Amino acid sequence: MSELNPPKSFIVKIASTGQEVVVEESRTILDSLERADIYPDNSCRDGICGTCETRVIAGTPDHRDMLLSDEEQAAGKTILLCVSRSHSPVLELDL
Amino acid sequence: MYVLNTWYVTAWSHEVTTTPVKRMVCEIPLVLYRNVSGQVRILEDRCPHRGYPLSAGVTHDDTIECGYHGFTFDGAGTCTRVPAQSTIPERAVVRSFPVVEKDGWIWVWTGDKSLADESQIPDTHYMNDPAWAANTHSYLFECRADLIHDNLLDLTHESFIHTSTVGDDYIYKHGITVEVEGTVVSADRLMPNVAPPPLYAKTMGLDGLFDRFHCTEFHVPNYHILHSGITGAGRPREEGYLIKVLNGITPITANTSWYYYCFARNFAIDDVQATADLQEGLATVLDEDADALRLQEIGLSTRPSNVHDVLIAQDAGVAKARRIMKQLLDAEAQFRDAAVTATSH
Ligand code: FES
Ligand code: FES
Ligand SMILES: [Fe+2]
Repeated sequence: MSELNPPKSFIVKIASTGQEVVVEESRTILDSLERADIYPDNSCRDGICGTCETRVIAGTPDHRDMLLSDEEQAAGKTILLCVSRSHSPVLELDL
Repeated sequence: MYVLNTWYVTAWSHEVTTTPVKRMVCEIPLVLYRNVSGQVRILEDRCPHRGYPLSAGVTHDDTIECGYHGFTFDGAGTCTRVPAQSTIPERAVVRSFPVVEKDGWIWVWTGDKSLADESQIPDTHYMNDPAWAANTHSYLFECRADLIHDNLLDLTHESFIHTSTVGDDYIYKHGITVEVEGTVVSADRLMPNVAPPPLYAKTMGLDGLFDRFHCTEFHVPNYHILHSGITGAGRPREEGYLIKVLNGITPITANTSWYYYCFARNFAIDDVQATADLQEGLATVLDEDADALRLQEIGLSTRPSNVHDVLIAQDAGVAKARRIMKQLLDAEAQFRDAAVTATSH
């Protein structure tokens, strides 16, 4: 797990529709998407199982899961929506 | 789907003689036999002539003769004799498999022969080392191999399933440390200042409180070694009463598996009564697991495919291992697709 910076808000962009969803500091990406009626697959909601893993198209993820290896986290090609956040102001996801 | 480019335990040494034995590994039917010089041979268990199982035939020296019309094959699967005619058809060939026999187990390589590398077989010397006393079992488990992998990486189930032998509530109260190195996932749990498990307390001749530990080391996709034991409070593990549990997990079909098991201990190694008691106690433990996983397989059989396990923090090792398993499967599938594309051009 990366060091926990205090959570900041950012924007998630849905690649298939161009829709933008704001992720507030107090919410996860997954919660924010669900509030916008977007329902990605998920299960543990705790960064363990990988069910919510999603491809990152643009932006830099701030990984907070327990599953991805250090190399996978550094590569930043995928993100676990239930716990991880974004270093960049906008994170574009393959959804 | 199975990972095929790997070695699977397919028999105990003592099970394979000049009389052919039949096995199935990853849905591949196999016949195993020992030639006159003692080498184990493994061929696909299907005669190219008309599909009769070779395991129903007999062996002579290095060859196996089909029981139906006498086609005879050598250990490499080459046909050496067709009794009813003097020529041998070109296509009368049986697939042969690389074999390694080590420390009492016979391993078969189910994948691409050119990739078979003996050095990938794990260190199993505990089965065959005078400093360790071994109890062995082997079981048919009526479940997919994945459930056994999950079971071994998640020993919190001991608190619920193995209450009379190795279980105790304190197990699930201690968290695990998970590490990954290449394709090996380990999940380690230290339980300081606890009573030794009922199954071994007597054998160890112990009473009082100790540090108990167990570390499952899963060599994805097919083998686990558990490093467990107890040691004095705060003392190094190597000083303690040590147990190595070797688990060769071999898929038979999508919902059956063979479980090859060896429990080796470095204490009371000459104690015949302890060995006999453990043999019985460990059979109880394995029965409990076999039963639980058979039930779990039934539970899963009606679960819709869009419903997933709800993993918890104690399942971190399970999740890591599943990910590596999937990577291995994907890599093999990609390689196969590439090979198909290459040959179709
Ligand atoms: S839902 Fe399990 S890791 Fe996100
Ligand atoms: S089927 Fe084997 S010899 Fe005919
Ligand atoms: Fe068990």
